[in-house]
Amino acid sequence: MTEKVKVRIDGEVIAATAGQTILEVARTNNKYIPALCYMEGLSTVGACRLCMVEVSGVSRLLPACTTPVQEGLAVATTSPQLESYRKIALELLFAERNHVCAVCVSSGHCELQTLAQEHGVTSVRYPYSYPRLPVDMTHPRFVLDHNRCVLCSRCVRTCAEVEGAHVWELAGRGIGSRLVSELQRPWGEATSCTSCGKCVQACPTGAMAEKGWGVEEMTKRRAAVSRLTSMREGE
Amino acid sequence: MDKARIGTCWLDGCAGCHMSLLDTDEGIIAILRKADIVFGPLVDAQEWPEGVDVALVEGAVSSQDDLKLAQTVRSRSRIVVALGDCAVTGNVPSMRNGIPTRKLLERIYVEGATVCPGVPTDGVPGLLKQAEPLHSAIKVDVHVPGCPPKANAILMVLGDLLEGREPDLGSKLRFG
Amino acid sequence: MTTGVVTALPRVDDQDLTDRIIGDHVGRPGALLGILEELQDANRHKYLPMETLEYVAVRTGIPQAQVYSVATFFTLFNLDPQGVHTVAICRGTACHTRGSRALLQRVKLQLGVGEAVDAAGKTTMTTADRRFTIRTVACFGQCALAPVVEVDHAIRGHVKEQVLIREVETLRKGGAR
Ligand code: SF4
Ligand code: SF4
Ligand code: SF4
Ligand code: FES
Ligand code: FES
Repeated sequence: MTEKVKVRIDGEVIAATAGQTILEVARTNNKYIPALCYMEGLSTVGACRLCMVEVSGVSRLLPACTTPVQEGLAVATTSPQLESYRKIALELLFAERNHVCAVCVSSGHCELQTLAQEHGVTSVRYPYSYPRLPVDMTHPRFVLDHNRCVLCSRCVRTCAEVEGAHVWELAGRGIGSRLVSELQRPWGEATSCTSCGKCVQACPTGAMAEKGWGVEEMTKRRAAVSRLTSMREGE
Repeated sequence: MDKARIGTCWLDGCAGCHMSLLDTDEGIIAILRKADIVFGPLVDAQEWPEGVDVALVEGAVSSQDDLKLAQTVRSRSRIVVALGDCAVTGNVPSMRNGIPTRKLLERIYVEGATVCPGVPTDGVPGLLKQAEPLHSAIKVDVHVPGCPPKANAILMVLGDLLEGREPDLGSKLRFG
Repeated sequence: MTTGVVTALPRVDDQDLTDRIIGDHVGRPGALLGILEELQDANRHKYLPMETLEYVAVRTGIPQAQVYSVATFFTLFNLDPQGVHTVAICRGTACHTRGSRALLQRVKLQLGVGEAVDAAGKTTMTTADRRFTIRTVACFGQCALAPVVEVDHAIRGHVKEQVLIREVETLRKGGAR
């Protein structure tokens, strides 16, 4: 069952278990691969494309979070080409919605912001789309600001897989995609929401926050959500 | 050796980036040994001069006047720096961009007015449809994000540019 | 995986028919798609009212958000009542370069409807009297025939403005229904 394989990450030979993803193996061995839609303890969807890596013998790039390792696999986690693609992916995320870090509750604790800084994104080369998007304040304790949502679906998976409530989904398609609760009901009227707050903790950006915090004040306990699933697996 | 010429200006911004420039404290002295500030709020000059080496531009491009000034700056300066989030991303000024300008002006100057309701037209520059980052209007050579950029980031960038190096913000890169 | 929240069954027009359609599909792979497709077909105005979506969710145990996600992902599904006649204009690249935008503008003018984007971000416009729905399609896969327009499920290629207008006019005069 737990077949051992040997893989190479940036030249270093690493022992792994077949079925683990490239990203998991890299993380457990302190090799950095950027990721946004991936969160430990949740299923993987390969939505953000930030974790793309080069695999020798494969001409296209592969997402590390969904690609399982095999014996002899050789991965490059960084290259000029990968870096330029990651920058493009990040810039497009900024261009798609309205990110105004200066007035965002998550500034300073935001995974998108941190990734942009780490990858040297100093400006966005694509025209901003400036969509008009609502902010859902109907929940008594939480806020959903669509302006900051990157459609990573971490909240969707957390609510469905960890809390078992499945309040959220991504609706529509393409540039018109939106996060919706139930049948696009206001969050505060979603009868299946238990108000556990796990989605808020899992959200990498300022899209979901607890009410009552000011700019830069919303810190999240993502590890707590991941820990819940690992405890369950251990049961 | 001739001293380099620095110009600074602000478009649709809050002056915060200029405050940060002042926050460089004695750091500015080292800069002024190598350069003169030839235009900006601290200088008397009425018009952006020719032959500027480094232009620091704060603020988004929001009005006809902003656009004109940005174009003048570009045509008369060697290196244009977008200073701060408003110039780099549009930032807070761009939060109006989803609203048609007419509605916006009426909301503020008519519905929101307690005295003399009416959209002003005389002596104020026309608003552009959207407040955009500087690089959507003119070519920008260096971006220094931050709201405002930290004083030491500005110093580092200016230092690099005056020494003829391409600045790399590295760990000083920060939005918000 | 239920939430423990008991949701009252929403009222739907024809509960027996709805139950039968759900019963026919439930348990099969891709059941939700089949259910929604048949329910829309059975609806007089060819759309899926919110109550129907909620009913399906409660009856099948599929989370509401997931039902909504599917109903808004596929362009096949309508969340608003549709007109008696449908004019679907292709806005794909080939058709665009051959003037499909002008066709769309012209028909909109003729039927007196404005721009409209529905909840799912699709462009669909229905006349106030519900006789016509105009919608756009990403590509019919008939690019050689561009510009392509589908009128009441019949594909027309190389469509000329005048011909399209006449056809719509004929339908419009085709008596009240
Ligand atoms: S969500 Fe992150 S990137 Fe977006 S505005 Fe907030 S801090 Fe900035
Ligand atoms: S608060 Fe809990 S139950 Fe409610 S949407 Fe978030 S994760 Fe789901
Ligand atoms: S709300 Fe947050 S977690 Fe949910 S999809 Fe948007 S960015 Fe991701
Ligand atoms: S982390 Fe792999 S695609 Fe998002
Ligand atoms: S573009 Fe119209 S049919 Fe393909």
